[in-house]
Amino acid sequence: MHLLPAKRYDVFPQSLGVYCTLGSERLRLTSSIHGLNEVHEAGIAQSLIELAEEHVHRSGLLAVSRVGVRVGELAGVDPESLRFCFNCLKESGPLAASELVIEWRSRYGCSCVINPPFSNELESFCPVCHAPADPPEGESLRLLYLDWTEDDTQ
Amino acid sequence: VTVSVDQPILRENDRIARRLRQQFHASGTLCLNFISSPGAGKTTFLERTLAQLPPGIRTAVVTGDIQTDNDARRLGRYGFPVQQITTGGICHLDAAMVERSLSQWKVDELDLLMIENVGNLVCPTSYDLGEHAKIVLLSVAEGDDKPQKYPGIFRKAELVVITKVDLLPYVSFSADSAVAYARAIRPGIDHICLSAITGAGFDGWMSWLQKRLDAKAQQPDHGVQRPLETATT
Repeated sequence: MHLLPAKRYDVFPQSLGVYCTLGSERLRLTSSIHGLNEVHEAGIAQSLIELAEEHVHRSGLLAVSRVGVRVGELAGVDPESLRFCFNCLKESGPLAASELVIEWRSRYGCSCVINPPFSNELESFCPVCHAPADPPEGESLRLLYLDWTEDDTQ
Repeated sequence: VTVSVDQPILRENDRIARRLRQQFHASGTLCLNFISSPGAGKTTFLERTLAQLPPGIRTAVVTGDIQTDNDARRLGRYGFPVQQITTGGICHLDAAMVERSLSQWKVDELDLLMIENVGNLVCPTSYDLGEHAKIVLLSVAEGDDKPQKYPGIFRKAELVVITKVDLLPYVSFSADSAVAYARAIRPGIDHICLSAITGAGFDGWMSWLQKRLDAKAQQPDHGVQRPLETATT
């Protein structure tokens, strides 16, 4: 079944399912979404898929092998829930065979090193170089890249 | 082969939020986004705010809930236009929902738009609604370490409102600790302690609101909260 034209995905935690609206039909994509906790990540995953598909179509790709994202600790997104929802919603189309690669960023970042080892979560200076910590790094929620193999281009 | 993208995942939401912000800017409308956990007292707080608003401030409220229009019916008793967004399971409001909701009003005839987000301290944090300021409410019936547990919203909020202070004799909540935790996350963040039931401390909130309205009226750009992360389009 080809679901690519669908632009709207609905999550109904009461019925523990993820649905996709295609024209007048509502198609069940998955029978379980582990309840309310995943609703937020489902919305994020939907936005991610729409953004990725936009780039896929612009690049003339048929299939993507890896979707790279950066998620910061302050973004309020659980990485494994995001992966679960992504895998539910990508079910068909150019992202169907893709793997979600999550680059995690801790609460604070610093230009000197990725994920500095803060010993106290309220510390505001980098423990490595003692520069002020960089909270926006921890707020990251970005699509970084799309990977595909040469055979997948049109 | 890799295609570099490096764009915010919520780019479409950010785009609509920018459109809303431009609309508020053009009309001189102050837009505030109220965020708290369920039961912190947002609706009661907004009810008293509507009741105490000085005459002449053209105000509207958008209120979000997963189910029911109970809050809209409560807020609608004060003579101001109110719209309920029932999300049906979605744990936050997004910019498209707000834009759709506002399409029934003439925004350029509003001085103040208050958005009561869905009760949740996590998910609404990610979604820019085009507001000038996020305001986080925290009731004394919750732990005073909420800022430590939910740092994202305290990073982005401009004001912490500590509600239900009439219950302080019955709970072990330290406002000083809550504010210290919030300021460790966002240094200098303002706070107000109040009770929407007794009215204690409410003058401080009304004064804060009046200052923001005055600043907005005099300098349309004044106090506009910029996104902490600049969106790449």
